[in-house]
Amino acid sequence: MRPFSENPEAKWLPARHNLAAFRLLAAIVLTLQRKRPRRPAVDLRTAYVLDRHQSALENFTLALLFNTFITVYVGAWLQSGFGLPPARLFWLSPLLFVMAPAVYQLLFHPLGLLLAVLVRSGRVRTTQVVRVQTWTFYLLMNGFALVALRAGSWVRWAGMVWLALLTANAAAAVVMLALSPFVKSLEERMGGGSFDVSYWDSAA
Amino acid sequence: VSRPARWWQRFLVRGVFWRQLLRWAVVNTPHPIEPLLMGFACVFFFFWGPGRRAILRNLAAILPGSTVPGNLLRTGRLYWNFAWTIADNVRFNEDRTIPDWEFCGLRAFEELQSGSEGSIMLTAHMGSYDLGAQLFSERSRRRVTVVRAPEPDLDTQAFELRAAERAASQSVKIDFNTRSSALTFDLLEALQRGDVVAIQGDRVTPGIGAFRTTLFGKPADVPAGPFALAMATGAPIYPVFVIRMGRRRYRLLSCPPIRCQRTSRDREKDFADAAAAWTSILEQTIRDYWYQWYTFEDLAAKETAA
Repeated sequence: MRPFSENPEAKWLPARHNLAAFRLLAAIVLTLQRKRPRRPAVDLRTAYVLDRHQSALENFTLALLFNTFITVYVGAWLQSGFGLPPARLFWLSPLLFVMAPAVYQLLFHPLGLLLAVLVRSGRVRTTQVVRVQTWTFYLLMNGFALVALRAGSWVRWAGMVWLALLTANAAAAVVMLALSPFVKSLEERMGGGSFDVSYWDSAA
Repeated sequence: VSRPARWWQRFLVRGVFWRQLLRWAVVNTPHPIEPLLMGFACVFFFFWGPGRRAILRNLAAILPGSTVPGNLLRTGRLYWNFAWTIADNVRFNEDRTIPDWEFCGLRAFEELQSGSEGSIMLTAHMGSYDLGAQLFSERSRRRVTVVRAPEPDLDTQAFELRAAERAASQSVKIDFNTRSSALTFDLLEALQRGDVVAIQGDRVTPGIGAFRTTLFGKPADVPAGPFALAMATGAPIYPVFVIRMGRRRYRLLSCPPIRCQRTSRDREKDFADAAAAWTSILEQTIRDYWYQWYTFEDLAAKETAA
C-alpha cells in the first residue's frame, strides 16, 4: 500500500507533485503554511496519499496548457495549409479548443496499439504504458514547438512560450536539487509510515 | 442478464465495448491529459437521452423549485463526477492508484471496522463504492462481501467481475445479485461468521425483493434484503457513503447504525421503521451530494414498476 499522511499540511508536500516547477511551488506554499497552522474541522479527518500524480492544481493547469497549445498549433496549420483568414480562425478557435482532445486521441491510439502488442508479448508491463505515452507526448510537444519556431508566422510565439516554460521547469529542478535536504526532512516528518498506523492512532 | 445475440449489441449503452474502451483510455492516458478526456466524455454522455431525461426528473424531485436550465447544468456536473468516478475505479483496478480520503462520522466507521459481530454496510450509487470497500478491507481484519446489482449484459458482467478480481484483496468478495435465494444463504452465513456485507440500498433490480417506502415525497422501492438479513441475524445496518470531493479525493461518510429488530408482533411495522430511517438518511445525503447520485433511472419509473 502507498504511504499516507494524516497531517493537514501534507496536502502541499512536494512528493505529491510531478514537475519540478510544481514541486517548488508546493515547497513554497508548505513553508508559508507552516507559519500559520490551521486546525482541522471537527469530525473530519483527511489522509493524504503520497503519489506524484496527486496534485489537482498541477494536472488541471497542464491540461489547460496542453489544450491551448494544441489549439494554437492546429489553428496555425489550418491557416497555413488551407489559407484560412485570421478573422475566421478567431471565430473558429472556441470550437478548436473543444475539439483539441480529439487531436490528442489521434496520437495516443496508434501508440497504444503498438504498446498493447508489446504488453501481450511480455516486453512491457501494463503499468509502464502510461509512462511511455507521457514521454512520447512531451517529446511530440517539444517537436511541435521546434517546428513552430521555424515557421516564421505568429505561431513561433507559441513555440517560444513552450520553450520558456521548459526552461523555467529546468531552473526549478536546479532549485529543488539544492533544497532537497530540506524537502526530504519535511517529507520524513509528515509522510512517514503507512496509512494504517499514522491515521488511526491519532484519530483514536 | 443476457448475452448479446448480435455483434453490434456490445456497442449499446450497457454493452461491454464502452467498459473496454474506458479501460483502454485509462491505461493509455497520461495523467495531465485526463481532465481533457473527462470533459470530452461529459459531452458524449450528454447525448444519452434516456439517462439525461431521468437525471433531470430526479433533480426536479431532489431540489424542489429548481429550473430546467439549471438542472441541465447540474446534469453536466453529475456526468463530470461520474466520468471521474468510473475512471478512478479503473485506475485503481489497473495500477492501484489510491485517492486522498476524508473521513466523516469516524465513530460509526471505527465501530464498524473493529466490531466482531456481523454487520451490514448499506450504501447508494454514489461515488465509488468499490474503492470504499477496498479501503475498508485494507484497514480492517474483517472480510467484506460486496453485493452488486447485476449488469444487464452478460459480457459486461464478466468483464467487471474479472476487473474486480484482479484488484480485490483476499478479504473482499464481489457477488452479483443474480441468484437471489442462493445469495441470501451465503449472506446469512457471512453475517453469522462476523463478516461485513455491503449492499446498495437505493435501487431495486427486477427479481429482487422490494419494500415500498417514500423517497423525496414519492412512493419508491428499496431492497428488502438488507432489512430482512438484519432482522434475521440481529446485525446492525451502517449507512456508509463514498463521495467524490475532487480530483482523486473521496469522502467516506459513515452514519450511526440502524437496528431492524422485532419489537412487536407487527413485523411489517418494524420493517417500515428501519426502512424509513434508511430513506431519511439517504434523502439527506442525496440532497447534500445530488451531483454524486448515479441513478440514471427515473424515480417515477420505480413507482410504476412497483
